[in-house]
Amino acid sequence: MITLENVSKTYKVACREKGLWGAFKSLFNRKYKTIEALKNVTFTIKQGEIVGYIGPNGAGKSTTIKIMTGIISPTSGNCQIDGFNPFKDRQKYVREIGAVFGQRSNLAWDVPVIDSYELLRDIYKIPQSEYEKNLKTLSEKLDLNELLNLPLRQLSLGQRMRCEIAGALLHSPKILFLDEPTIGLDSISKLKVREFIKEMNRGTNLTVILTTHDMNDIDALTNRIILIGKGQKLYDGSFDAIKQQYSKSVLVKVQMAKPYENVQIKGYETISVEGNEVTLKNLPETTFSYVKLVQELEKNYEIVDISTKALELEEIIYSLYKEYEL
Amino acid sequence: MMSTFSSIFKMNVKQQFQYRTAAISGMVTQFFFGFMQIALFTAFLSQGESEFTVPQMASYIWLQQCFFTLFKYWDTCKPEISEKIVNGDMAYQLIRPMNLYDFWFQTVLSKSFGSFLMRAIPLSLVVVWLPAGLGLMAPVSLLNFLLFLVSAVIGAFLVTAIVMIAYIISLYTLSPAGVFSFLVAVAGLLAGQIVPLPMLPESVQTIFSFFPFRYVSDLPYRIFIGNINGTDALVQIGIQLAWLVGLVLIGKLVMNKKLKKLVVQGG
Repeated sequence: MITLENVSKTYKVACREKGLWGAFKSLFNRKYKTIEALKNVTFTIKQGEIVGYIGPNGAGKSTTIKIMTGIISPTSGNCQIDGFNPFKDRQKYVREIGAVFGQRSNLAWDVPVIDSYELLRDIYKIPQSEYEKNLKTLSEKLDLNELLNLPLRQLSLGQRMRCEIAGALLHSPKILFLDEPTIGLDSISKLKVREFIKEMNRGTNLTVILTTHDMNDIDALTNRIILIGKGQKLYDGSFDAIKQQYSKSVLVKVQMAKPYENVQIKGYETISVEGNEVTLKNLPETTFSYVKLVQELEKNYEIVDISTKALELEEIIYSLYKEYEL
Repeated sequence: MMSTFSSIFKMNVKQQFQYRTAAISGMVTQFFFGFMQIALFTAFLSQGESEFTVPQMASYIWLQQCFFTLFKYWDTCKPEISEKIVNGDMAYQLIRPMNLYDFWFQTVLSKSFGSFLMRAIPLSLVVVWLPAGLGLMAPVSLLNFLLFLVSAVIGAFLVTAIVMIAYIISLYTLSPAGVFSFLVAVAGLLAGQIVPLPMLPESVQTIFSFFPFRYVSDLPYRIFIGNINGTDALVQIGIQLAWLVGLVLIGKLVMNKKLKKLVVQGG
């Protein structure tokens, strides 16, 4: 359904020297720098899949989304979605997709939400019966009934996001792009949004591509992630596999009888030393074992207590980013 | 096409109606300015012999005030579209199945027409009752009135096409401020929105006729007050149409070219 082959995107940006004089000089002699936002990105996504597209800020996530939604053209490479070239066939292609950009708004600020929906109905030329059916389903599932007659500016962020998502689905798209849909939402709104996405995916076989910094979104919605960093695809596969790989890492907190300056244990990395408390993490090649660690520790140190903690989701991603030097 | 336009139109008129207080205070200002200008220009006209009579001048000024938000839209418009360019909201417009030029054109036209409706109707209802020389007189003939309507409609499209060009230039500069302040200064003068063009020397008027701006507002007003009549009016409406077609084509061409290389700002 979605195929990207060796997609690259380079931007030319004017770089200016600092200060007033630099700004003045750049009026006459502008230097340009080429930035490679995406380098040879290749992947395919099947219909009905939910894919988490993750990476740190500036990795190229939004650029990829913009290419896939037909907003910008790739500098080189090929992007085929549902038989369309998104950029060249933009006007036809966009009927097949819906998109929510978490930090932008698709609805008009000062008029009731329903008026914005009616405008979308006319822009997408949605038949009245289909529009009414979709609106009914969406407002039931997203709990919009009381919001539709309020102007957008009076809604809370969570309410607004629900309205935005409904707006993106009124024309029954086949693919939904969500660019940070849960950004800034409280936990209840996040749960609602996640539940809804899952339901739509099951019910209508909607393909969902999701970028997020919240790993709980990924955990709740999908098992497939594509990790991107510095414009390159680094990993494409199961999120569970990554979790398993990293959940072998264990943080160990050791209470020493007295402060030690330098703590070194074979097979472990010393994360921090704070007074009597030392935090250790097993190196990838070491399998954690209580008994062995205690034996190892008692050779050189006097210990009082020892406790362990598995890595949390965010820490796994942090280690992942670190491993790829992002 | 038509239903899309009508709902874009309804949406924008609704948005304009949100700003009632602004409209009322705007109208008070317009009364004040109208009377000031009439007093000032009456003093000028009484100095010499002119084809342009005081009642014509007063009507010209009131038409100007009625059509203020429509024909002077480069001055009164909000930089909404430009903001969308700068902050990246344009991304949403690009994922809708529509031609961006057409959509913006319809948006601009609806906005200016919406605020025109809200101001022109109450204002004109008052000024028609004022005596000749102070108020808005009736059109000189039915024919002139019909020609006025035609050229006012074309004028509304023409001002939109000009504002579109300014928006398209701000796609390149990423800041609408410069383009629009230039437009306000130059276009206002050339369109006769600062001094009515019939009060300027013939030679100056000839030069101004080489620009599109006077076909926005000066032409329809002068047809209304009987300063331009018959064949002359028809020829000038022809020129007006030619400008409209030309500017729309240029706008579409440049915009499509720019969109090919577009970088949507932000995240």
